[in-house]
Amino acid sequence: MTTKRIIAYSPTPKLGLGFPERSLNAALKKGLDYICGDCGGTDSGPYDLGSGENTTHAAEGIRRDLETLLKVSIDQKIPLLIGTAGHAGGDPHLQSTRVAIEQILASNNLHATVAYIHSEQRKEFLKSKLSQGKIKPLNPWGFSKVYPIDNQIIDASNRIVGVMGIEPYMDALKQGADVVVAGRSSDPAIVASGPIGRGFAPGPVWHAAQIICDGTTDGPDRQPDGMIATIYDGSFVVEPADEKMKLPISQLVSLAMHETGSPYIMHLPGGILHTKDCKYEQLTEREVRVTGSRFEPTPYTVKLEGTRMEGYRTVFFGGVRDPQIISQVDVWLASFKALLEENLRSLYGRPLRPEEFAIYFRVYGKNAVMGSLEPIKDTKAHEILVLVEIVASSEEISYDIGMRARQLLSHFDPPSGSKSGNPIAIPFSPQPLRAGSVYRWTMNHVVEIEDHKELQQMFPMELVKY
Amino acid sequence: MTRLCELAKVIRSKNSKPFTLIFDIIFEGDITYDRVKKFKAINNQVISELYKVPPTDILITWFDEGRAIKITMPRPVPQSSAQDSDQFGGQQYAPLLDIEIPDER
Repeated sequence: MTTKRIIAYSPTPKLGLGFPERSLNAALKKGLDYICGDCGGTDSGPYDLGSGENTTHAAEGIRRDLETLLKVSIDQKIPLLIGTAGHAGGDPHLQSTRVAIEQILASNNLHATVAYIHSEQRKEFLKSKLSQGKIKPLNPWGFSKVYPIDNQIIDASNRIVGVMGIEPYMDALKQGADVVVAGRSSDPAIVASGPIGRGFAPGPVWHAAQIICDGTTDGPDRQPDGMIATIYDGSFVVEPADEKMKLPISQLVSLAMHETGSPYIMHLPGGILHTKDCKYEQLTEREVRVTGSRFEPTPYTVKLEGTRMEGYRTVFFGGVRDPQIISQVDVWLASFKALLEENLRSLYGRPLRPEEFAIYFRVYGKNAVMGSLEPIKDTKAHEILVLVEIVASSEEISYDIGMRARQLLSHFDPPSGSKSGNPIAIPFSPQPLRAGSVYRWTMNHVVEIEDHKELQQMFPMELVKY
Repeated sequence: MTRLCELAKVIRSKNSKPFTLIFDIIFEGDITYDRVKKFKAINNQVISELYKVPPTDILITWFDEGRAIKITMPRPVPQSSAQDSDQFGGQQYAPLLDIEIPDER
């Protein structure tokens, strides 16, 4: 027997971006059942997951958003669900979010039961699943490009997370959590878990969740803001949190395009959301009712995200204005690379292996943005930027080679033509610049799950009463 | 013939997670969308040649309700790999701009 409706609020595209107080107040007036916040994802690359840092959202912004939502959630007894903590959802990210939350609770004298759900995966577990043939490529569209997986790849990964669905959130709520803080999660799962846990039909729940989970930036002032879904058993109504913002059906429908491989089919943990037969009804100029969303359960799989540390990056860059150099830039850089490698061979007494040292050139004004896909083969630019990137196995070697390379290129004439002796215009010093550690994604795979117990083992939960 | 960039309201690209690249071509009115759909100027062969991807690795969805075309393909290299040039995948749509669409007869 389900309650008649559930109202879920997603305050902002990502916690840390902020959201208007008036939108929060408008949402609260409706009588909320859940507040759901997504903190991250893979858009900014593997660095955050690999390093354990959050280089995407400032700590102070996250703290501010957490404090606002925790106060409201605890005061008004509205469960607060937060996913992909710390932007990447690994254990260090979860831990730094936990520290922030504990400080907020203590300094505001707030008391609540908080569930922390981990998403990092043990290598032995994954290798065991691999040996059983239970790790498969993630390839929903059947592309021919498939990435390998083996024990070596698992071992070489410095961090691997599983992307959790609704089940760990549902378990946490069932065990009395007022606040759920989870590692890496499917964005819509953060919103869907409450209503599905209370028996609402999954199709409309997942569809509503997909629409609202990333808030909105389509308000009149283009600032991060929230979305609200009123979910019924079989349909839902979405509206912006901002009371003045309109929501025409065309805008809602364009949200279906957002970040998905298909506007009609969305692959989710445990199933597929079908929206082709949906009907959209403009109830008011800011509310749209949706019916016809269908969820098709599929054998349960958990997506894996893994990183490995490849080395340390050093960069330098400078402009070129001489058309003679620009017209032979590839030849010029290839000759420079050959000379640098020869110098390094002398210095180290042997050639450096690719895993010890690599050098990359990005020529802006020619083909840096599209690389080999760039259809325009000859640039007509009157100036170009050459960005030189060195990746080496230690920070000292990376910086040392960076310094040598910058010195060398700064006075390296191309094989023919220009004899200026100063082919690049470096804009400032110091260069080169230390550019941090280099992380790569290691897998594009899912692991097949036996049962709920296995999910609980993959996503262990700690329940803490404050 | 008219270039696609003169007919479409929005042409954009983005990663869909680190291994997939998606393109959206969104039209303002039904007439333009219907015309582009009718002439099938956006098809697997055209996209395959522009992006050097096998035609079978291209998924094109005609989204009538949104008056939009969605193109999905494997990313040429994974996000943030050594050869990756575009973390977000946001600037890979330029070759679509000049696709020519026949004028209505």
